[in-house]
Amino acid sequence: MERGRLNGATIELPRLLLASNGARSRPEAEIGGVLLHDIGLLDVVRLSAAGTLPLAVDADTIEGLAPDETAIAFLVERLRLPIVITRRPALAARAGALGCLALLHVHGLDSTGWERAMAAHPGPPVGTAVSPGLILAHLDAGQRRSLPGPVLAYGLIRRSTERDAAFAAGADSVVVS
Amino acid sequence: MSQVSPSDFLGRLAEFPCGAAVKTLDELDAAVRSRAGAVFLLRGNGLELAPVVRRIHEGGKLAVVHVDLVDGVAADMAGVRWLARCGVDAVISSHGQAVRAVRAEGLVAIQRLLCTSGAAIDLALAAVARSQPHIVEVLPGVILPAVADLVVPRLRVPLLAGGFVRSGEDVRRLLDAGAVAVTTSERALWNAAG
Repeated sequence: MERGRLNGATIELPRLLLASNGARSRPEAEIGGVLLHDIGLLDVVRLSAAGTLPLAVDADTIEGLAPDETAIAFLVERLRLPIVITRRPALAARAGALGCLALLHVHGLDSTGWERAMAAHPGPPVGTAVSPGLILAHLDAGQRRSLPGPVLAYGLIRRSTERDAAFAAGADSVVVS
Repeated sequence: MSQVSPSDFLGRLAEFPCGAAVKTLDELDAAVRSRAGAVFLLRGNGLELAPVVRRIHEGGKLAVVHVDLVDGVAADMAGVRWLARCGVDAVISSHGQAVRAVRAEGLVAIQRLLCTSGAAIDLALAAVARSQPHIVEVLPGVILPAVADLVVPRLRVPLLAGGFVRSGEDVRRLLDAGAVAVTTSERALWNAAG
């Protein structure tokens, strides 16, 4: 699903994103991109220059990166990262305004927290990263319909059956590790 | 001050394995009249709790307060002491410091374990090991069967499951996966769990 254009190029959310915190891993053939998380800022800079696959970044987990608009502008404009995920609605909106594919990171822990998180969602063109990704299959139809897309199932999906269930529940992309 | 021991608390949950999670006082009457042995207060004014706790006790239920979510009370030693004075039987928090304070006050301590990623589970389990709650509540509880292998073998305390629990079938699956009870805001389950 397309949601953004960065430097004139169309940005699409790959169907499968490989979670990477810098450790070596053997990606599956169908992996379409890499999600950087829980690593340092210097590693993000290094990987952004070396990557051959599209990169997404979980901005809230990058050590050394402040939770502010300057940091978001650095990720999008300097490093040219096409996909940015953050829990902060204002920063997600800012990332989207800068032209990247921005996803608001929503934690689905209980129905009350879910309602609060969705009330703060900036809406399209900002999409949604849902954690744990497993919870997508347990949302009711109304909750799924209200999710601004594209939708990323992010976290704790370890089995092919869980991956299939996330796609069946409306995920455009799934994070695997 | 409550005198409920952790084993008494668990015994009440075992009688009917579904706790009533209440977000507004409008739901309180239904919770107090239900079969649930414990009422979990997830919202509201934490500084006006004493009459609410009294109503819960008059209904023969145990009163559990989520100190991170109620308004007006800090999740620290003084906040927990306040809850104890209000007669609360058990306190839930995601923060180890608050959990230790709950134990120090002689209340039943429940620590939330937020399962958003593998790394989050590892960190939360380490926090649980440090703070040593009497009970752990897994959220979102409905995914417990899928993550039980990551959680259950690494815990030495009983487990609750809360979050997106909507049906009797959910309750049965979660009890089978290792939970001693569930918490839910679905009123129908307060009287007919599992």
